[in-house]
Amino acid sequence: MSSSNFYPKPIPLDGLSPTALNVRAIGDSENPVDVVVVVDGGEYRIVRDLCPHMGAPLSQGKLCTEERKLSCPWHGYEFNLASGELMHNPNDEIYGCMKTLYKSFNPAKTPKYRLRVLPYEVRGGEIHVRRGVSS
Amino acid sequence: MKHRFRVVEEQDCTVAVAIGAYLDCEHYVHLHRSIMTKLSIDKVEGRKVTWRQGLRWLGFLKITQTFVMEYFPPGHFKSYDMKAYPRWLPQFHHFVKTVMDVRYTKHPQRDATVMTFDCEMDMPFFLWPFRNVFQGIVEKMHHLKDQEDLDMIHRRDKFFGRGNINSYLAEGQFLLFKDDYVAHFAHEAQRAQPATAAELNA
Ligand code: FES
Ligand SMILES: [Fe+2]
Repeated sequence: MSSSNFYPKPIPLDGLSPTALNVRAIGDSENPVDVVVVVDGGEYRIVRDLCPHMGAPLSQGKLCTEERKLSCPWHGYEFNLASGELMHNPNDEIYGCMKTLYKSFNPAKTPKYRLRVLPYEVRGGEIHVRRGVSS
Repeated sequence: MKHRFRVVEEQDCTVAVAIGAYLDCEHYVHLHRSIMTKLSIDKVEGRKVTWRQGLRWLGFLKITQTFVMEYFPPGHFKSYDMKAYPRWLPQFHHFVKTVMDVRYTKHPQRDATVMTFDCEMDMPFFLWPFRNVFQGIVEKMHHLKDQEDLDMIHRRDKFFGRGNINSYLAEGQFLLFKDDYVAHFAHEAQRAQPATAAELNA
């Protein structure tokens, strides 16, 4: 496997907190890439530090380790860290009564927001994050 | 006795972005969680929304209030009729009638926005000596909220280009008074790439 299939900076396992959203830089100066690493049992869930909705820093969100759920700090969307899927938009309860009021809003057109869970390999006490499609 | 004050601030963003961020109501209770504990809607009548809102004053004092927010497109928002909730609970609003007004306008010289915040507090004489304390609390909360909004705006500008309002205009994105927003700002849609966070994430 060519090393270019991996992001340039591996993530040392040392120092990863099992209860926190660990933010790490894995790119280089030309292409900086920050990721959030969540320790999930013997596995790691790694996603870009960038919400697919409007670009919030997910590292400032809220982690629920039991439900493997990450809530975005800007609009509170809740993502499943194992699959990347959007589980819930908590605002639907607040604004449900307004969602038929505007011609220019069509809920059927709301994208299926999804986190890209990045594949990785663990070697020599480090996580090497693979570029490319989600596992 | 009426105490009035004004805060004027230059914001480093386009007017369309500042107003889009204001109308992007899904962020209120999440981004501003340090001051807002809960939020629901009691009534909607045209451009008037009656909110029920839990607030945290000075980081610890929790109150619940209802108020009307009225929108005058494209960039003027007025909040009034603030009442305690439940009504019988003795609270600030029983004594002080507050009206707040926020306007976003284009800076006359620069590619920036001028935010003007006006507040009027009508209070009985025995609270008059505390008017500057009340002003300080309101200004502090307003400033904190503004800073959180600006951090969001600047991060979005960094990733998606200055003035990119594509995600506010997107058909699948809910905004308050969305038809008004689209009518006033659709012409500012950009062809910028990546246009959205989802594209950047792919
Ligand atoms: S930016 Fe994450 S939910 Fe909106
Ligand atoms: Fe805001």
